[in-house]
Amino acid sequence: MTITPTANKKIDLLIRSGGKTMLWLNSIVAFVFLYAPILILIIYSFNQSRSTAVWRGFTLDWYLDLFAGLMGKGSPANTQIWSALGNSIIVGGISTILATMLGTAIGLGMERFRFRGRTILEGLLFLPIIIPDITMGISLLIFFSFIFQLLENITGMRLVLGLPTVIIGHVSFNISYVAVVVRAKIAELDPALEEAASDLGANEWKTFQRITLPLIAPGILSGALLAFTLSLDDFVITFFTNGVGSTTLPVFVYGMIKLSVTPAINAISTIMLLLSIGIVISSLALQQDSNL
Amino acid sequence: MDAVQLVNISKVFTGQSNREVLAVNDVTLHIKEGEFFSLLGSSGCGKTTILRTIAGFELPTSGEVYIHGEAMGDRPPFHRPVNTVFQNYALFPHLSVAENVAFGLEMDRLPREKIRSRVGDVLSLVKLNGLEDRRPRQLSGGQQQRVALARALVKRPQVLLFDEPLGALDLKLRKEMQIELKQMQQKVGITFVYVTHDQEEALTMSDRIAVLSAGQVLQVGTPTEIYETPNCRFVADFIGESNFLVGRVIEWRSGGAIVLVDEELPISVPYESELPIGKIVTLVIRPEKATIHPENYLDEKGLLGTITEVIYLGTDTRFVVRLTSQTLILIRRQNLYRNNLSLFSVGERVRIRVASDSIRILEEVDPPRSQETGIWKHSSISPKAAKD
Repeated sequence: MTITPTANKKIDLLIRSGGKTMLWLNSIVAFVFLYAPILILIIYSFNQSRSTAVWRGFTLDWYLDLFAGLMGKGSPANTQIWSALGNSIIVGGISTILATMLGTAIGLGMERFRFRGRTILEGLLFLPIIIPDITMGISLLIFFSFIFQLLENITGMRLVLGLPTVIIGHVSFNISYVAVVVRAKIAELDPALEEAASDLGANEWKTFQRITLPLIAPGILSGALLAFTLSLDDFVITFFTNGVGSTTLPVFVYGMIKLSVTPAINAISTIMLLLSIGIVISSLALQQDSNL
Repeated sequence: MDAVQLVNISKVFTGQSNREVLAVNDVTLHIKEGEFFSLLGSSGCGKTTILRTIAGFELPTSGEVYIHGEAMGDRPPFHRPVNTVFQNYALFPHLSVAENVAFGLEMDRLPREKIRSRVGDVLSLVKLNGLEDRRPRQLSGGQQQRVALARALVKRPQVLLFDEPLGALDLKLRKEMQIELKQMQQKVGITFVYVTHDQEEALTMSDRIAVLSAGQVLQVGTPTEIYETPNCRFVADFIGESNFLVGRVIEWRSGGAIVLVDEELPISVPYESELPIGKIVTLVIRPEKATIHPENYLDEKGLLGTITEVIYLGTDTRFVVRLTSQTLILIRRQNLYRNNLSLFSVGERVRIRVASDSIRILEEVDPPRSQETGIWKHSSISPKAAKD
């Protein structure tokens, strides 16, 4: 039997539709791979059983326990979770504000001025995004002990790791993210707008206040939200830089897991997940909406 | 007193790998009070840089800018009594039309009531009433242009600067805006300094034009002066169309010369200053100033030639006529009557007549852009024709 032209076409068609199917399959597998663990986490946060392995029916107990902890009732772990969350929010809030101010200033400077060593600075700015968290954490720890030792030798004052060191650590990696996001926003700003303001009688400060700042505000805000999310989620750097009483939520959850994985952890993780998603979505929405 | 005075302005930009570029080369200009003054030139000729040195966005490398007699030195833009209408309008996207226009007055700390009334006045001047609350992106190109104009006008500057403000508009709107801008300038009496690369736009609107090339001013004059008596080959070529005939002076008497083109065609031209015999000169003839006639026309005066091409263009017809073995001349003939449209055809012998005072002698013989010296380049007809 010879292969007729029509048969050839049929094979062609088969290959093509087969390719399409495979492509679909690939996407589905990839998505399952990404989201199945998260989905399981959410589902098991409603599990009646104390063990994570078996499903014993739906309950809101773990969430209720958590919120009871907020009122100072229930197990001590559930109370501690809230103080850890409080730490997370303090660290996130302060480090975000500092990183946003510094990052915006750097972004403006890098985009507006040509100076010697600009390329090197640009590389240095990207470095905290690229280098592993563990390197960053260890180097911060060494840095702090060095500084503390130095201070003790000079003044006799004895400093220890705590919330301030965690905040400094978070600022150090968040600056880069904010600077990158803000810079992208400034780059799309027409320089003629600032010239127009100046032409109309606005000095440098007025121009910044009335024209530049409002136009790059969505970029700054989305940089700040990104910084806050990263700070909220960070484990490694916090782990190296925190001390007694400055445990953040991720570090606290890690500590709980060492005992056993309880549905309470699932519940708190689900809450954190929702919080992060919410922030990231609003950050993206701000970037979308910025082409006013 | 001059509204704007530029004295020996030069501007050097340091480009990539520290290469220095001379954008403006020793420019001196006097712009009179209440004048519509255009800076005309192709892109990269330095016209925008000159405008920016007046506005204060660039400081000249050397030289001084005076506005109403006052030296500007290194004064920043926000301390200069001029305002600019930008090329792409540069409207503040986050402010409404009214807020855009009010911006300059707020910077001057005018009382709120006064700002409101002046913004209202200027918006009705540019016919934008009712659009106060719109954002710039909700406006058409023409409307944005008007907002940009209103925003600059509302400050009542002594001098208004325009950086190709009509470049982004379509042809029809551009023509309307040209007339409107000219009328507005006469109405408000402010000095306009207008940058453009469009020669027709400059001719339409200006009281005086400065033609620039490679950072230098070539000629300053009224539109008529610039068109009728260009002082150099570049100006003759840039403004409108020109035939350039290169020849040798073979006779000069007071008031006139005879120039021998291509060693075979004598043309007599009136000329006041003395010309040495044997000097090589360029004759400039505008295509519309030459007329075309049958070979045996009347007294049989004029230059004999052979038609090599006839191009019908609606309003007029272009003839390319070979005068000598090396010289072609372009003639534009208005299509006045429908019945003699096909009077002349390719290959026909014709007589070309040019009133001798319509021929201009340039003592300069800079090589034309084509490789064939002194020959009107036929190919240049197409881009110009397309532009018209």
